[in-house]
Amino acid sequence: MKALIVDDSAVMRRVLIGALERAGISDVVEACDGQEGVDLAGQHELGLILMDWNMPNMTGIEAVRAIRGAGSSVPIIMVTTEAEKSRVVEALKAGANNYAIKPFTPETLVGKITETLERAGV
Amino acid sequence: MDVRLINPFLESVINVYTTMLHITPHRSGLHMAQGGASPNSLVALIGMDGPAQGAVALHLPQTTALATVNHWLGTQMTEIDATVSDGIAELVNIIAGQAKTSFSEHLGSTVSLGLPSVIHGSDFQVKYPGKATWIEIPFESELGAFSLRVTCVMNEQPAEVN
Repeated sequence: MKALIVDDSAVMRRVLIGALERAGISDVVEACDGQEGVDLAGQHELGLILMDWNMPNMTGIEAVRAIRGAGSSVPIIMVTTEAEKSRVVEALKAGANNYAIKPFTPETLVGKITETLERAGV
Repeated sequence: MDVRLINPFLESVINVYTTMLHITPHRSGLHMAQGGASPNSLVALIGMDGPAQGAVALHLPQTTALATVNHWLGTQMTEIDATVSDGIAELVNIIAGQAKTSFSEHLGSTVSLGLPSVIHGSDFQVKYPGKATWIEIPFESELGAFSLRVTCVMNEQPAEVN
């Protein structure tokens, strides 16, 4: 399975790659903003997307809407500091499948990844 | 600035370091920030807007910044580069994010964050505008000393932050 990480922080992308590897996913493509994420989502056969919220050019929530608008049903986990309930509801309505709040432990994120893939039947 | 607003930031620093870095920093004081920055330091700054307005600045000596990102990533970097700056920017983003969530839930309205900026070098000063009150929380940790500086006001009165 190939996963896409969309986060403007290169360090956070490395942290997320580590979590994906612990979940058994080593084939990863990276995007540093929402627009690049949308572009890569259209170019790759993906099994999972980890999506930040606050990024330059295009936010994560805009990217989720664009990806869903293009007809993709790939599982998407928001991984963000935006922890308000209203934000969680907004993301789920936009089409995100799950939500992980920064800061997180590796175990927490691996659990979210596993849970999301199981729900998606992967 | 109401010093009671500082508690969410204090709790956030400890939680973020404990959760993401497995390090427990200890607060070593609390005072008004006088501006300026130590030589050879790195400052990560992020703004808040909405019902709580202000800014958050994470100040680290370069040695602490290097030790922090090396510890986080398991690397052995020896110079401040884009990766180190990026890591410290992400730290201040997460610290401010957790604190602003506390404000949002208390106020019933979402506080928004800007994107973080990082300054580093050996010859710069951070000037705070005259009416903005900054509180500094210094910390000690096994990765070195650092401090968080915060200016924050609630509701319609904008913080004077440049």
